[in-house]
Amino acid sequence: MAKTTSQKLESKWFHILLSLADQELHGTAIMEEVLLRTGGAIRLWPGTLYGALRDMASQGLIQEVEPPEDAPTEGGKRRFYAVTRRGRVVLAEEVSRMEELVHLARARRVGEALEGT
Amino acid sequence: MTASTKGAARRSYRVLLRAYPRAMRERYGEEMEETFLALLRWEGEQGGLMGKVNAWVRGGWDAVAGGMLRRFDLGPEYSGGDGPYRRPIKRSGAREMLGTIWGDIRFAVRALIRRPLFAATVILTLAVGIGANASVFTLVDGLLFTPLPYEEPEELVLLFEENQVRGWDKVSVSPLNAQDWAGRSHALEDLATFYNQDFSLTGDGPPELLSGVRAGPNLLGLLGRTPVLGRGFSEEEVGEGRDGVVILTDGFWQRHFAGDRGALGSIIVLEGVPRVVVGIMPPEFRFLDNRPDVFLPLDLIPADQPRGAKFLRALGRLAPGVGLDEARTELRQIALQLEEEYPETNADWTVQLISLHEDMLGPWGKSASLILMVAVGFILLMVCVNLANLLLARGEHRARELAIRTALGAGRGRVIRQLVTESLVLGSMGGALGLLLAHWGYRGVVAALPTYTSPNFQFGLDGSVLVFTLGITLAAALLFGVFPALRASRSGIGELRDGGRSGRSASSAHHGSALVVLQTAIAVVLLVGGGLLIKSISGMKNQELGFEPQNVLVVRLTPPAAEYPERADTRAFWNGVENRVAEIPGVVGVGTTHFHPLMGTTELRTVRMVGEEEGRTARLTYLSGGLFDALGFRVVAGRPIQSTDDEDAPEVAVVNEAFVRMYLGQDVDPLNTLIWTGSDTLPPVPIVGVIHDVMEADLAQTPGPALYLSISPAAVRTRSLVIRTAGPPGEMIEAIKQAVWSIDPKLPFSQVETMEELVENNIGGFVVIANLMTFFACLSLFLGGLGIYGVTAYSTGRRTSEIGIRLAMGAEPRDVVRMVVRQGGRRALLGLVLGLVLAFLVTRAMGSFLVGVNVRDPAVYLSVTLILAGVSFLALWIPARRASAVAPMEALTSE
Repeated sequence: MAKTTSQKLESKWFHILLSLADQELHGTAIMEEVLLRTGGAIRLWPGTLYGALRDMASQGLIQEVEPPEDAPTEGGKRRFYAVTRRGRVVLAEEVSRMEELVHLARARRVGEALEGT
Repeated sequence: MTASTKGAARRSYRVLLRAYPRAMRERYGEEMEETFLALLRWEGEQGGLMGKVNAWVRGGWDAVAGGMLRRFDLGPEYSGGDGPYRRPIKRSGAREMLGTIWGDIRFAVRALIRRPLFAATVILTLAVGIGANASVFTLVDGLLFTPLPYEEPEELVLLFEENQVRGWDKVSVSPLNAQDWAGRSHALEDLATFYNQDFSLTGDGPPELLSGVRAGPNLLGLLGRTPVLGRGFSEEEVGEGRDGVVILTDGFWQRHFAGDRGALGSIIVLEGVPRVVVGIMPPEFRFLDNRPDVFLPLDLIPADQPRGAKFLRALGRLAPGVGLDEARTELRQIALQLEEEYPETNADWTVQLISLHEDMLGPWGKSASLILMVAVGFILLMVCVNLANLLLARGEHRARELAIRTALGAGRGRVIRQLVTESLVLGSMGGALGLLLAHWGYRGVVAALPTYTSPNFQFGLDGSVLVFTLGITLAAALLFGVFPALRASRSGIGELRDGGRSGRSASSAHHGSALVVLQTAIAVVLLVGGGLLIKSISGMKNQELGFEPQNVLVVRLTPPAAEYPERADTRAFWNGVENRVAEIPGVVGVGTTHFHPLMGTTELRTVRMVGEEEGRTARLTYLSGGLFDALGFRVVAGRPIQSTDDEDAPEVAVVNEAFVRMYLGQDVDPLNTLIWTGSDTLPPVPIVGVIHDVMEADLAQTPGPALYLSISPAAVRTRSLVIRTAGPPGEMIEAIKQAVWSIDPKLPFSQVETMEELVENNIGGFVVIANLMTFFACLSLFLGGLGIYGVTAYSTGRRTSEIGIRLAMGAEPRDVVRMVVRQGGRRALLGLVLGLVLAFLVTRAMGSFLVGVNVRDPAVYLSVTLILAGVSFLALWIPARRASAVAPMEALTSE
């Protein structure tokens, strides 16, 4: 347990992995998916986003894939990404780490007061 | 978002992305742009303009900071290990620092958003100050620092003849003298002569008047600019009858030939003479101070010209490494030799050398630029003083916040850094807005420049303006930020002890008052400067011109030599035009002259009194009898030139009062004097009349001796037709054209001007400076008033309880008002005195272009003193009055 909490995944990486969990997307689409899912709370600015994509790819969490046949190119080539097996493991670990945290907190009745209001 | 703004946004973002290493850019650049545009659109939909600003700030930071980190390989480091993935183990030092700075900036922005009124006040005030500075600097940069568009422009000089004994300067050059200068000088690498001439273009279309330059074959090469198509002139093409060639400027080529390369080698008819187009100049070529359509070879051989005839302009190039002074000394030496060799024509004449750039700036260009720059710099200084005051006051409000932060372990340096970051954030916002203001501001300033400003001066918000703006923005932010930050950060934990009642108001008020004194002094200097200029301009407008410019039209016409070859033809043409125009209803006077007043060109003639050996120089004007009435010259003795003084009548002369005063003296009756007006072979001419002095050259120059001769015998070809009308002159132009065309239907018309326009244009440059100075002076008055008000309001606010006690002890409200005003008044008085002394010293630099006003004009100083005293009193009285109106009980419980 102590091991997983110490291995917290950077939140931006988590969101990128999450958006790729069930689909292959290109950079802008990842940004938009995260933007909509978090209600605008997390904005992946280009420098951060593509830096992360590059680093994640180099660590084997995601990989570039061929774009789908019908994908519009809007003038330039877009790189599509998919989660690797390794990436899925990391994502699953992060989720279970969060579950544990939530579980711990619930046990101490944290957050109930807020839900009540 | 329209396609064009989207394109602009993409380009701007692409610039920011340059922070990244090339490999990263090439791989991800396009996608990053696309992602940014998507975010920008989203932010715009969510938050409108503020959203977009946010996107630019955040996205910009993300790109620049992220890029720099990648570039210097300072990205997160990853641990190795056997975990499922490697994770960042530590942030590098640089990343940490960037992170804290970003944190400081975010904190500052949040602090400012909480006080929008404060932030808006600071940003707007700063924007006005920086905008004004950037606008004026754009002007100054274009005038002073941008090199002229010629090869090695700093080596180019203009040469004139000068007669210090007579007080004539910048006189045109005699061809033979120019030839001798060029031949004997080593300091000059090359010298070219030219003169301006208008040409009528006839052919298929309607006749057109072209402005042209008659140039020596080396003129264009001397400038380092050669035709982009074809060739320049050769030596063989110089001289009348051999000059059948023409070089076109790009403007005329585009207008007349629509840029057709076939124009080269074709023939155009100028002045009735067919001429072959041998060259076309490049589009970026500009000639010195006008916009000619065509260049033709000089139509004269110097050796055929009399040495005394001075009508050419001369442009020289200094040999490499030779200074202007060195060349001047050498040429004056040559002029001395020429004086000895040709005493008849060259006695007292010397050479005048002026750098081309300086000549284009005009006599006042440089000093005016510097004065404006100083004035506008003062404005920024005042803005900074006001803001420093504001921040000082705010620092006290924040004393508790800062004390808490100190108590929690923030070092003094950390607090200062936070406060200075706040100033820098405010500064950069003010600077950005100021640049936006300058974007419009400089256009206004440039548009107001006098029309005769050389087209060689180009203005724009270019790199140097951006650097300048960045510099002053930083300087301003530090100026108004550092001092209050140092003071505010000095607060100790003691702040927290006694409920925040601070005992520092006295020292703060002390600093505040020092700033008020400074501001008052600056305001005085600017007001005095503005006042002097306004007075100078009204002086220029009201000074005696010697003619009446109202309702007068002027147009230059040239009957072509090919169709009017003989003197008699020219005379017949001009007599016909004068008579026909005079018949138009609404025309009350009509006359012709070879140069009209304020035209910028004059001719000099050496005359000799009968019985004297020595020649004297006077400005010569040929005119027809009608001109005296048309321009409203005042005859003070004798009679004017009349239409009966034609070629068949004996020649007569009219002189001006300056001529009588300087050359004849009081004891001589001018009307009984005979003078030789030219060659000694003709009989001397009697002076038949004296007229009041006329402003001929320009409004800043007192008229010198002038001589007026009848134009009819001389049969001058190109003349100014001067028409006085009963009603508004603009309505008469069409009728005048018809009248002229009834004499010669093919004659081209150039610009018809009114005399009033000429007068306005002549004052133009001064008006721009004066208007700007007035604007700055008013601004400084406003800022100064605001400063005094702010400091007084603040200090009375701090003293509410003291005032309450005074009132409770029986003081009358007016005693309180008197006390506050007296204390503040002392500071204002000190500032006033300091300012007057400073103005006395500073305005001396303005002396060179003040007309009819003493730099120490007491009226200006007096009115400035009164205005400033009034404003200061008001700025003191309002807060004092408010302070005295508090109820004593309320005052006592206020803390």
